[in-house]
Parts: sequence; C-alpha cells; structure tokens
Amino acid sequence: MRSVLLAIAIGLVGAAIVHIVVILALPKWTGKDAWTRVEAMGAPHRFFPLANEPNPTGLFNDDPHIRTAVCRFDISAAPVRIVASGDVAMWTLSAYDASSNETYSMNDRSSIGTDVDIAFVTPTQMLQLRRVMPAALERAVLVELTRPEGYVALRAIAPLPSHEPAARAFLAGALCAPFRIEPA
Amino acid sequence: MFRLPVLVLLTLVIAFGGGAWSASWMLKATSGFGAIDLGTWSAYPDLQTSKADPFAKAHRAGDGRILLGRAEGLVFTAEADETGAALSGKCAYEISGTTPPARFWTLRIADAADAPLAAEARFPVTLNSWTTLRRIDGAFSIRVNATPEPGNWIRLDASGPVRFILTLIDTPAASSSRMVDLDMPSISLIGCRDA
Repeated sequence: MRSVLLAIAIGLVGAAIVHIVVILALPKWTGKDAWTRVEAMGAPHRFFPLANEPNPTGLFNDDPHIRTAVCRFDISAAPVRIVASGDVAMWTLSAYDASSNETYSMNDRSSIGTDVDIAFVTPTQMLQLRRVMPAALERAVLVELTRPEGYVALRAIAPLPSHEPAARAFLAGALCAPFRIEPA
Repeated sequence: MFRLPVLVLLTLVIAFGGGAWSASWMLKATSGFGAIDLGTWSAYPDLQTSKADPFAKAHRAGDGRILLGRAEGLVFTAEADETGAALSGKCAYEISGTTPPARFWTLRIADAADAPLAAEARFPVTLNSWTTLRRIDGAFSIRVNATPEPGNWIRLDASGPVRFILTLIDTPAASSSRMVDLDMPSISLIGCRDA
C-alpha cells in the first residue's frame, strides 16, 4: 500500500514537471507562431503586404482599416534599413525578435519628419557607425538589437475607403534592405 | 511479481497523463495573466513583450498573430455585455460612451475564435473614430443589429457567440499604469431574435 502511495506521489511530482515543460516548450513547437508564419512567407529583406482575408499563410489584416506588411531580417552580416514614405493618415511600426517578443515600436508622431527611416543594427555595427556616421543615416532612427534575427511589421492606417490606395502604395513601396557600412 | 512494473507504469501514467492534461486544461481555462479589465473590456498590454507570462506566450504562439507594439496601440476585447451575459450574434446591442484617449480607434466584431465574421461588402461591419457620429459632448452611441438603423450602425447577424474588439491606435493607455481610470464604452443589450 505504501509503495502505491509513493508511486502516486512521484507521479504527481512528475506531472508538475511535465506541465511546466509543456507550457514552456509550447511556443517553440506550435508550428504556427508568428515568426514561423513570417518565415514561410518568403525571402528575407523585403516587405510582404498581408491580405485582408484569412489565407493559407495564416497572416492577414485582422482589422480592415489597419493594413500590415511584414519583413523578416537578419542583421548579423549587415545592418538593415527600413524606409517608407507616402501620404497615409497614420503609420506605426513594430520590430520583433525570433521569439516574437517586441524589441522596438514607434509611430509617425515619434519619428523625425513624417517618413519611416529606421536602421536596425547590432551593437558592433553601432560602434562602427558611431565612428563615422554616413550622411544618409543622419536622420534615421538607429535601433540596436541584441538578437540579429527578427521581423518588422509596418502598418498603414486607412480610416476611409478613399485612403486605401495610398495605404497600399505606402506598404508596396516600403524598403527593408541591408546596407554596407563604409570602412573608415 | 508484477508489482514493480505496475507501480512504475502507474507513476509514468500519472506524470505524463496528468502533466499533459493539466497543461491543456490550464491553456483552455486561462488566456494568460496580466489582463487589464475595465468593465467588460479586457486588454493584455504586455502580451507582445518578453514580460508576458508563460501561459500568455503559449497562447500567443498558438494564435500566430502579429500583435500591436506598445507605441502602436492596444486591443480591448469584450465577450459579455454590461450585465455579464455573453455576447450573441443573434442579439442587438448598443455601445455607448467614450473611448480612452487615442489618435485613432476602430470597433469590429469577431467570432469566438477571433476570426472576422463573414459579411457581404455592402454592409458596414466596422466603424472607426473618423466615421463614427458623435454627440456634442464627444460621446457616441453605436447600434449593433441585424437590421439597419439610423446613426452609427454595425451589422451583426451571426449564429454563435461573438466578441467586440476595440483597437486603440497610438494611445497613452498602452503605457499607462493608471488603467483603472480609463473610460470605456458600455455595452447594453437591446434585444434578441428568436433562433
């Protein structure tokens, strides 16, 4: 009898461990988390505008007024610059790491000017840039990321149907391209 | 003779069966901690960050959405009216009051799985802060109904439970610690059709 109780007790301790392991491991194994879906959309370093309707990629605009485009990037070799401009009512932007944790977010009110101009750099690249700041980057927002892989979501807001073409053009023209740091 | 193998088997069944069952039960029972409840509306301001708890992160990975960042906005969801009754696609509601300060907001309706409701393009299924008519004091009143109504109207004609989703864009509420002071619109039931 005592050994049965002991077996149940050990089983319950094991159940607690399995519970914790399952909960902690689940984000890596669902196969449908945001990072996996962004990765499946296609090549890195280009923006993919999302459709308004649910589709096989699993990613779509939840809100018809808020159009999103995503770009996956890897800054380990070279920094990446996000540039977009156009006549939209509002835009917002968020960067996430490969675990889909937010690393940076901003909107048009917190940018310099009205256009999107952001460079994602590693700490090493930031040191290089500090030494010689290229003239082209003077107005860009420099964001240091500790993890080189991630994705950025750029959203254009179209409050009225007449804003739709501008929002679409804004996202279609958005660039998410690596650039070279000229050696000093 | 078979005592030891049976005991080992019992231990393993309890460990793996109990662990898997309790994990799936916890994920069904809770959508994570850290929710901010304002009346019937709730939001998860930290859901997209690394500060989210493990249950919220498991849900986040299962949903696979690209969430709004802190500087982008905050999403409030309501699943019940002000009396606590679950929102039904067969009922008519009035959403009235004001939203917390935000540069832009949208109101839309989703089904219980957070998917948008299927609707014909000629019906209004969403309103936003630009298209909503207001009274002189800035408050609004939105009718959610299957039959058209004058003023602000969103069509709702679904068979199952629904949820109302209020998205605030560029709002100080997302970074405010004084969430309890925010005014959210109230949801009152007008009536239900017979199924």
